[in-house]
Amino acid sequence: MFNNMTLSDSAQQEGGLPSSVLFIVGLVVATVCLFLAMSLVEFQPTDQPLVTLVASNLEQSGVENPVTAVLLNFRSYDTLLEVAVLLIVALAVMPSGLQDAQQPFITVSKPRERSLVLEAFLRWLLPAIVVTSGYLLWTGASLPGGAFQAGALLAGAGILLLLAGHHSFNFNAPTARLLLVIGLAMFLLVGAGVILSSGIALAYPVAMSGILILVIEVAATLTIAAVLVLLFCALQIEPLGPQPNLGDKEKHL
Amino acid sequence: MTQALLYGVFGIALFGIGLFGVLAITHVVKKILAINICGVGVFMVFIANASSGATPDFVPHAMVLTGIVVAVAGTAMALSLVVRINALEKPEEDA
Repeated sequence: MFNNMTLSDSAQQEGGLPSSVLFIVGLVVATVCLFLAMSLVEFQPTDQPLVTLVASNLEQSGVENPVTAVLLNFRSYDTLLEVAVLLIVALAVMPSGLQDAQQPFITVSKPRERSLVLEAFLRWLLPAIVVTSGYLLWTGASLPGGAFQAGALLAGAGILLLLAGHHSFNFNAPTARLLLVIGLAMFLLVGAGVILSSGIALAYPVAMSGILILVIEVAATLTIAAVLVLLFCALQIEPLGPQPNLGDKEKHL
Repeated sequence: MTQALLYGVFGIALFGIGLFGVLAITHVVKKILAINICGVGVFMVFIANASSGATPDFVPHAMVLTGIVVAVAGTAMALSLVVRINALEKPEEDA
């Protein structure tokens, strides 16, 4: 089942699993799902203690949106660890040794192929995306939104910028490294700093919790956007941008 | 049959489709896709259950939001391993 894994395009040539095994696997999975569905139908949640708990403590959290309150105040350890996971993955997929740390984060150059539609569209779209991202970040305090949505939007802007071909990112540059770690660093700083006032890590003082959450969220947005763009860059087998010697190779891939 | 239950049952169906894919498909990239479908099914059951009460439970919402980001990161990690395996398996084309 996990012994003969393949990467080839046509799995039939490599020989998939025999149909008898497939049948048994299908049967087992179907049975499992059936039991899961039956237990879901029978499952009747009597009371939801967390709902009242969140609602009654919402005033102390510094934000009005309960999801943001849970993410960045009540269960901020989850979010802290999540930003740490993002940083670890970023370190794992980081292109190593290919680019010089002295080069700037963003380099502008002439693209190999120009897409006029994308370029013209981007001129309108990019400012709008950045503004929308800022709005989502700000509105996360009271309405659906927040660091993840804003970061994902910003990352989308970065990927579009990459696809247009005029810009290329160097994630070994000092600026990029700062962007990659600032979310976790700010989270840890604030989390450790509030020990001075409240004595417990990540337990924000009520009067300042709103601004502290905003600071963490701004930093987390930058980090999430940077990591997502890095993931996109790192997964390209052929790097985009001006690399003339790769022109022929891409065609037969 | 309430709407939440409907979403929950289809979440389980997605989970099953993904689980079957993880076990039955030999292609690595498709396996990763199947794991993702599996995860989406779990998220859906989780969210659907959270909204079954009078007011939705926000804790699962926040946890799923966290889970989505971690799932993206995990997928990217797996795919980068696949890219690396691919590069190691075909050294002659890299030259």
